[in-house]
Amino acid sequence: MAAVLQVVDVVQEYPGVRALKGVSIELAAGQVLGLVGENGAGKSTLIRILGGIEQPVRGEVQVHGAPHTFRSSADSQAAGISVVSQEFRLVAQLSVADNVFLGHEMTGGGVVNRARTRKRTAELLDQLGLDLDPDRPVSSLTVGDRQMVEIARALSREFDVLIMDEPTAALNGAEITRLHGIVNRLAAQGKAIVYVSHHLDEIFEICHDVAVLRDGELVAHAPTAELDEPRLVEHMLGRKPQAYERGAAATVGAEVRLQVTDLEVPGVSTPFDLTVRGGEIVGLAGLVGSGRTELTRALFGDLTALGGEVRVDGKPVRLRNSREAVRNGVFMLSEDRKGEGILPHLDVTENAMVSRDKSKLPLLQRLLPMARDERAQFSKLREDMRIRVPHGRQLIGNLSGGNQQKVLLGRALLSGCSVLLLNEPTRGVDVGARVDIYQLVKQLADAGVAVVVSSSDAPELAAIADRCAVYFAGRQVAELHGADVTEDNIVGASVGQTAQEATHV
Amino acid sequence: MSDTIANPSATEALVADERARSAERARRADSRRRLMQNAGVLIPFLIVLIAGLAAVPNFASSSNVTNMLVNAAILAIVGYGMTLVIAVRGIDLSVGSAQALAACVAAAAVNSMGPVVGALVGIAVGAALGLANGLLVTQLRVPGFVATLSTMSVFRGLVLLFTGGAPIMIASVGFKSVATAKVLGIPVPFLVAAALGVAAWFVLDRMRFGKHVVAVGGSPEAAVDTGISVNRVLLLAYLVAGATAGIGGVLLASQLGVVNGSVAAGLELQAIAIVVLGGTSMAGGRPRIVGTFIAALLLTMINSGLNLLNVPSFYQYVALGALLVFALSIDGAQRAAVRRMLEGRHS
Amino acid sequence: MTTIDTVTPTPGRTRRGANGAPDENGPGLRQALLQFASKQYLVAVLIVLCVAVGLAKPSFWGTGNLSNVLFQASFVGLAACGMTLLIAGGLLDLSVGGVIAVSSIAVATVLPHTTIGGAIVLALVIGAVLGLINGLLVTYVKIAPFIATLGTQYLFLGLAFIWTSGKVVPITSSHFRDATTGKLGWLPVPFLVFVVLAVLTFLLLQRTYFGRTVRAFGSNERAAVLAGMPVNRSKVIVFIVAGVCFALAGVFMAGRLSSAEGNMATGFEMNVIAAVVVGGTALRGGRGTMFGTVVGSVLFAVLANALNLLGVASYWQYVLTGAVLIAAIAVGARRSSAAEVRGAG
Repeated sequence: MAAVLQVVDVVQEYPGVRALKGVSIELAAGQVLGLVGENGAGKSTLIRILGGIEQPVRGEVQVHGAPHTFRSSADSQAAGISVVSQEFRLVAQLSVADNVFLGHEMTGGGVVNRARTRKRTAELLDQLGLDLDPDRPVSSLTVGDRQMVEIARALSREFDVLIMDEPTAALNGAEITRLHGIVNRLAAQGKAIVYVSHHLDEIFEICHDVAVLRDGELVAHAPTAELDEPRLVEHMLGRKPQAYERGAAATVGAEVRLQVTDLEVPGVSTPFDLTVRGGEIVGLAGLVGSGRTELTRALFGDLTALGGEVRVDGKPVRLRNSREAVRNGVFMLSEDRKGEGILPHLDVTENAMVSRDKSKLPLLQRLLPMARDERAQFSKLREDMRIRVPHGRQLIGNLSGGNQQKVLLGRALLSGCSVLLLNEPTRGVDVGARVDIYQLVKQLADAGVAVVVSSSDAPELAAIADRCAVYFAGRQVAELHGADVTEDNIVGASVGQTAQEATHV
Repeated sequence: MSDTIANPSATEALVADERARSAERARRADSRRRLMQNAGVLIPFLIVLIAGLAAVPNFASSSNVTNMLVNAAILAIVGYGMTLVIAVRGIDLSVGSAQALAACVAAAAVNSMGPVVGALVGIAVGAALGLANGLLVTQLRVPGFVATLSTMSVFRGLVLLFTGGAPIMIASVGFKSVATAKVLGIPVPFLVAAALGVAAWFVLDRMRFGKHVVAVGGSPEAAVDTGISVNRVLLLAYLVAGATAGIGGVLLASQLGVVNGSVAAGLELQAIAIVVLGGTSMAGGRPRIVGTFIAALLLTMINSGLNLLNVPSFYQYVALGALLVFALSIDGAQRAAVRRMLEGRHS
Repeated sequence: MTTIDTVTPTPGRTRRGANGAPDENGPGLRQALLQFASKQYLVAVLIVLCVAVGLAKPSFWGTGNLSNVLFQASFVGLAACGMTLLIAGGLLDLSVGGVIAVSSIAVATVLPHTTIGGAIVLALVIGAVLGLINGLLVTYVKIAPFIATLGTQYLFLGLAFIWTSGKVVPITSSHFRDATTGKLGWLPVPFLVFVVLAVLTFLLLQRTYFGRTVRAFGSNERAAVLAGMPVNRSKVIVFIVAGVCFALAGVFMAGRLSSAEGNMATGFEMNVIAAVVVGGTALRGGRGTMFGTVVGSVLFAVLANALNLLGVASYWQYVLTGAVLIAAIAVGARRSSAAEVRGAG
């Protein structure tokens, strides 16, 4: 088999980090290669290098045996590589057709041929089983449709290698099945495909081979048939998966700390209801666009609710902005730690102190920060939360994802909240720190805090949630309790096609 | 609370429902945006037009109309360049100084090399200054507003050094007559502005470069991913902004007949005001050439009306500042309205 | 996106090794030295410049001239204190010239009728009100700071011209002139006020909850909002404080000119921003260095003085100020792209 794509000893470095430590991969025509690995293992870096967005420090990429240097994504596309990116990279101001052909417009003398663009787009969308008007502005599409347009964009180019970075994260069951059919057909036509996914069942279903990245190294590359799921997970983690030991059934306090009744959230069709007691950890599951993120944002006053009632510790509260939410005992950690969590220019101590509840402090300290007291507080946090930092003046931006998250949990703890909303609490956190964070969340719950965890990571919810509500397209489609909170049940309900009946209490 | 959904058809129904609501929301947001964009410039335009005709003596006299059309043309041409720069999320504060330098160099060149060469030199100077801005932004990675704030000062210094603080008289009668010449009763500069406007609209709406401008302004990440050279688009946008300032400068020199180092002070503010008032969003990705053109007429009518009413010129400062703040509030309100309507779909 | 999952070794560790005892909460000696050195480089530039000018024109070192340099530096410096706060919060104010004009015209107008103290208080109140307007536009009307203040610059200038009908308002009170241009020893009063204000601003930025909030939203506004910090309120206050600083600069400028008029400070915003940015406060926000701002203000005063002594056309100042500002930002961009603060991008 002649290799279409060869990655030879590619090394990539960021300041202070080696993201890829000499990775070599080969891909033949007609082959579907599953690329798996933990967050931060180097998958995204590798894809960005293949897409021409980043340039490797060392090593080379060969297409059809010829070495290529990609200085931009245009170079990579010219060499025959097409990428479906994980983030939504569409231009909201342009129409569907313009987006599909963006960067390789069909033109005559610089003038876009609109009729041909429209026709080709309609054909591509039809192939994907999508009935969309090519002239519709992208801003009017649902998340799932946007993902399909991204795929149409990748297919619209001439390519030999197709790279799909988590293409199914926002798709429902039927769409996923159709996408798998397209992947198989492209492979049969002789295209080489790299398929990245967190859902291992997908990998086993459509991939011929699997490559596993861990800490920037290729640790396994084998035909799918020779592997099974536990062994794959072992490769990804570098050891036997150490399950987080769920303690005895949570000692759920009697008092209801958070009660949400008929909360109408902008952009979500049905009103939300939710009740969380002190000491309870409630999971919210669902695909991207299912509405669970909006729910947590509305509970934190970041989205203004249109109606309904929220009670915290029995008191009805108005949540018009985050500041009011914090005052009323609600705290949220965003899934976007870098964009919405850390304050990169401030040191870890200040980062932990910014939301501190000042009402119980001595008068002088309510007016001015006391350096000595804050140092002492931080030292205590560092002990309690096992934050690995050399000193309290360390800038938070230089810490690992796990340590940043621990500092932010410390911030939540010092805010004295009664309800804690966590979005994707372990995204970009390595395995070791992940278990630490689960324990910290459990400790917070045991201390009487009502915890709501919104996560796209089903195993995570299965590990820590006492109860789990599953959302689909803005509606709650299932509520799982106790022993029913399993990965299978969550995933099944999330894509809206499980055959299993969830028990109702 | 509903039961677990067990059959695919229910799923399909949910998806279809979500899709329909999404489309409906987008349609409403779009019509709201369009309404505010158009109302934001058309209503003030009509009010000022009617008020001018009704209350200002000599407002509709042929000499004043000619004068207004020439002034509006010069402003609109600079506005096109600014529209382009703002559409790619940039800003050019140096257009006033660039126009002054272009006008003075053009005036000197007309005197020494003749009208045609002089005009071309003026436009080339503008383009070169725009190129300098573009290089600062793309190569040295200086944010656009502070790069052009600095070059505003640098160019102004250069033009004062060039003129030594003295005015330059233009001798060529032919050159001076360009601004006052008429074809079919319409001043030539206005025809130039209209033609350039049509060309700019066509490029932005129908050509590959226009799609790239929208992509770079609307979603720079998407532009990078699809292989568009963001730096090239930015460089060209600043270059065009400089060139339009140059064209405006040449027309200004022709109109005034005598130029000095302090002409076109505060032009950046007028240009930004008409662009934003015309509906081009400061957030990038939505160029509106037609709006810029109408807003240029509007601003010129205001200035002319205040002049004819013998209002001291510093009230024009206040009017301009207020107009800019008004335009920006509309832009902000429009974006907020659209965001509210679309809210909740990005998770 | 690739997340970075390693703990970078930090200078603090070296000290821990040296002492044998865990270093609880201080940054390492090396880090402190590095920080000092990065400030030092600007001081070095200043010293080199002074020596060079002194060699070319020995009259530079005369006490009278040095005193004059400090005198000149204090006008930009006073305004730069407020600007440093703004820039540390990721904000900007281009209406400096307008605020200075309006507040000094107020001083000149009321001086014949009130005490000096009363006039100064009035100027500061006006500065606060104009700052409040800027703050409200930026915070609640949600207009980008540089363009909102570009608009108000013209509003304020128009106001100044309307107030004076475009004329110069003379200041006849010799007490006021003496008070604002006097000296203690050979140090000019405005410079002493500048130093005091710089120290106060430093304390405000580094040692109060308010300053922490400013640095927080300058660093990452979304994160500061989601942490429940009073972002909008603090933004408005920063603009008010900055307005007061500008007005204070206006008071002393009026004293120096013995008059006030609409055009007295046009283009002044460039000098102020340049002093702050050259001093090392990055435009992207998150931190501010008052020491750098003081050095930057003095640096530009020395530069202007040197051009003056060397007999260079004053128009060159426009060119030089702009060029130095661009250079400072370009160098700063390069340094920060070497990931000085990771995750700040």
